[in-house]
Amino acid sequence: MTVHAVTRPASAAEQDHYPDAGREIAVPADAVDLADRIRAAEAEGRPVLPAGEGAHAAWGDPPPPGALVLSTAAFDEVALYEPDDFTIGVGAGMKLADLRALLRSHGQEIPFEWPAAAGGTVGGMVARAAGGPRQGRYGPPASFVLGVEGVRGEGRPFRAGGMVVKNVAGYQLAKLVVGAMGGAGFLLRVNFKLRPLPAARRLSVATFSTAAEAWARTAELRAARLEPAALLVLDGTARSVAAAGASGADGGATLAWVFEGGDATVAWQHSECERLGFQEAKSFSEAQGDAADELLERSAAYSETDRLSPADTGIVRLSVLPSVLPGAAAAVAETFSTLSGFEAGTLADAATGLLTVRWTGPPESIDAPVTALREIVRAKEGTGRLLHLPGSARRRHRHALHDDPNEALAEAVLAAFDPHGTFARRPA
Amino acid sequence: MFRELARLLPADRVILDSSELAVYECDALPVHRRAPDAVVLCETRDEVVAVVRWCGERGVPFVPRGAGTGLSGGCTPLQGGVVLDLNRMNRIKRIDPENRFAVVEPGLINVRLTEEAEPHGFHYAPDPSSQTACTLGGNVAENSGGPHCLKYGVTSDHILGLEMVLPDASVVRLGGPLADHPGADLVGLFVGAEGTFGIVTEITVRLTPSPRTVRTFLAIFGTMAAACRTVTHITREGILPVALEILDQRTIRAVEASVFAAGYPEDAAAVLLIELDGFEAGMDEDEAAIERIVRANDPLEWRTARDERERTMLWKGRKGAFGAMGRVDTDLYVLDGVVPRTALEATLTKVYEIADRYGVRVSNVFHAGDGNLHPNLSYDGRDADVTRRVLDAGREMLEACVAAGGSISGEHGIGSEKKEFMPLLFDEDDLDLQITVRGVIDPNGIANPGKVFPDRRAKVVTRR
Repeated sequence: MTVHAVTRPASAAEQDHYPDAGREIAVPADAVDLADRIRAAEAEGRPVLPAGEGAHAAWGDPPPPGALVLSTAAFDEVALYEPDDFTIGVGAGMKLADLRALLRSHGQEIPFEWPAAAGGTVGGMVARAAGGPRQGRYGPPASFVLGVEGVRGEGRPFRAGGMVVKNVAGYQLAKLVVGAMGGAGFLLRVNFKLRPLPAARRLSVATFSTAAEAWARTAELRAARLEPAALLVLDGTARSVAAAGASGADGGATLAWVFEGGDATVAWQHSECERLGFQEAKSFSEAQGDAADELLERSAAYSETDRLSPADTGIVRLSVLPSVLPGAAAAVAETFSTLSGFEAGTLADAATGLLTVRWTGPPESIDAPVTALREIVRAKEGTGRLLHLPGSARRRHRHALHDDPNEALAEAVLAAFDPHGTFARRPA
Repeated sequence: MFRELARLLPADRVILDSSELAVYECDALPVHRRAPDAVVLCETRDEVVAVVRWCGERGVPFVPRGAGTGLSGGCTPLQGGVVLDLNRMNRIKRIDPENRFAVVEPGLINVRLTEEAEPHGFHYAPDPSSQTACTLGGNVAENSGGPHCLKYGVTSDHILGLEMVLPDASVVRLGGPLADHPGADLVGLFVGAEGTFGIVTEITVRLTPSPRTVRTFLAIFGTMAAACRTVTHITREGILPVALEILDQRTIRAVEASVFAAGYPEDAAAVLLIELDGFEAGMDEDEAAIERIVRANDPLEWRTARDERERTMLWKGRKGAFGAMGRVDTDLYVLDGVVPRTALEATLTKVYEIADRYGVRVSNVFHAGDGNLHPNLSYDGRDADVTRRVLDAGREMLEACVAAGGSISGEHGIGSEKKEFMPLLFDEDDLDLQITVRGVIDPNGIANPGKVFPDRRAKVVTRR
């Protein structure tokens, strides 16, 4: 058994994001130690924050004052991996990069994107329900989580779901844990359903003089009933996702799509696009393998905070019906064109209707874009998530984009996990 | 007291007559029976609200019911009270092909949605064997599966939003057609809650593009072991068929002796039904790979459906299996265990051994690709001794599934049938948490009481 130090130094990012935690992060050695620490914190009335590498720490509300930050580092092992069953159970503290490497060595994957550069652990990914651009094809992160284990309020262990791909025994509490931002307790282990790595992956990138042209071609591609693994319309600074240095300053937009699967299936879908004249864009390029992987990763990274310079960065994600998405993206572009000092981009996932908006601009003027985005959400009958705002604006605007009408019910349910409200809930 | 219900609904939609109430005393699991005190045939959400409020004010239990095809006693009114029959709430409110969703009422029959969506090029993917009779409200309550869930996922993966009448008669709308709803995933929590969180009055479902091409094959084996190995080898290769279904020899013989006869050879130990769907491109490669795997496992025969008629024929035996089993004896107890796919063969061996030891008749027809076993125990329910042995054997079979790393239910739900088996999977802490969650939503325990949790534990209810 690995012996862990009782504490470890806090990383620079963690010191930024958990200022009350001091320079050290507590590292429970095992589940018993963890439960003891949770009970001790409760006795002191101190909130608890589970933390992996701090990669996702800038998401959601700032941590409450005086929070005890507890590291998942000791829970970083593979609990059970049976490649022939296409399932794996891993510790919440396992590094995402390690998990990905292990799965790849067996020709398998969980089809979520997480930017390798950002680091991060399994627990953070699950707490945040971090998905990526392939959700439209494969479903949201929760559909790949088969079971969870953890320690909840009062230091009590909990377990939900299991290790098999079909399981309806008891309530689906694991669904509730995914995306709960740590509010359901400290995750120890997560069981995932796996997929085979696609044999082939092919990326196409077409640029158009106007966003309207890009959207028209997107509609054709959807109507053709092909099955892209990702279908993205990039505008403004988001165009750098498909081509380094592209800024959107020319007023154009980029359409990027990825086909993946068996060689023959990918080749046929690609030829269908050719038949539809998709290469007749203002510019058109295509690539296979690594370049396609990188595009998926960069598109996921677009909604990540920049840990080094978050002060002028805002990131929100809107969700509208796919049919409304072109109008919503246009409204966002229009909004930022009228705000001086701001530079923005939109990454629109045409399969799901998710629209990631990222901007930089003077932090003191943050209210203007937030107010405008709220109007767009309302007008387009969508929802919004504030993923990141600088400093104090995070808490001030926490309900700016969308009031969850069921928040009281959700809080009451989460209180079953955490009767004393020890686990700080941090909406994102 | 129950006559008061006639003030809430027209009298002809309130059933109080004991002979008519007897129809509602069980679902397709005949093991537990209890007639309700009243049945109301609801046509609108507001009627559901009124009835639930009436029940709440009097502490009367209520149970929602669709077609009554469930296999875990989920809609059996174990403590009497009011059954809300939702079959008349069967409208399709909206089909939106562009955004790939539909909005329906809970009494809609599963297959009707696919029939309506097909002209738009879509279908509703979860397809329980009872799909021509079962309702979507029941599917949501039990988180139902079906043969094609291997590729497309179970009900939970296809439910985007719910309108619910909670036990306090309040109405909540959870989720919806948008991809993202901030806040905890209450839709995920409510699907599969077996009616213990209230009553579903509207469902927003995902529509799945209908495949351009479907190919169906049948591999016939001389041993069950070879059939199970073939399944493991196919999934190991990274091929994802839309269905991988196995029937054992006893099922084959029952099918062939029935109106569902599909031309399966009666001396076969197992037939494996394999279906691929998707684009035509790539289909030849997947078919060749599957045929190679099948042939490596020494089949007696390999059949390919050349047209829709032959495809229907290959499926006929599988789809009619439960109907055929119904002819074997007066009663049929259908189990629903799940094991990791690699444990299929060993677990089946145990299932047969347990049946032999208890002297009961078992046949197996199951979703092999998901590791979802359905041992079927045919028996005469009028014989108390046989019934006891059937129930004891069933428990031991589910224990074998759990011991293999699996679960006691893959798609039928816990209901009244398996509630006493929950401790096989969950310890006291885990059950406490689930029961506490239930207590948050149904503090007075009137929504489908007596289900999911062991009787001894279910009484611990934390009040809000």
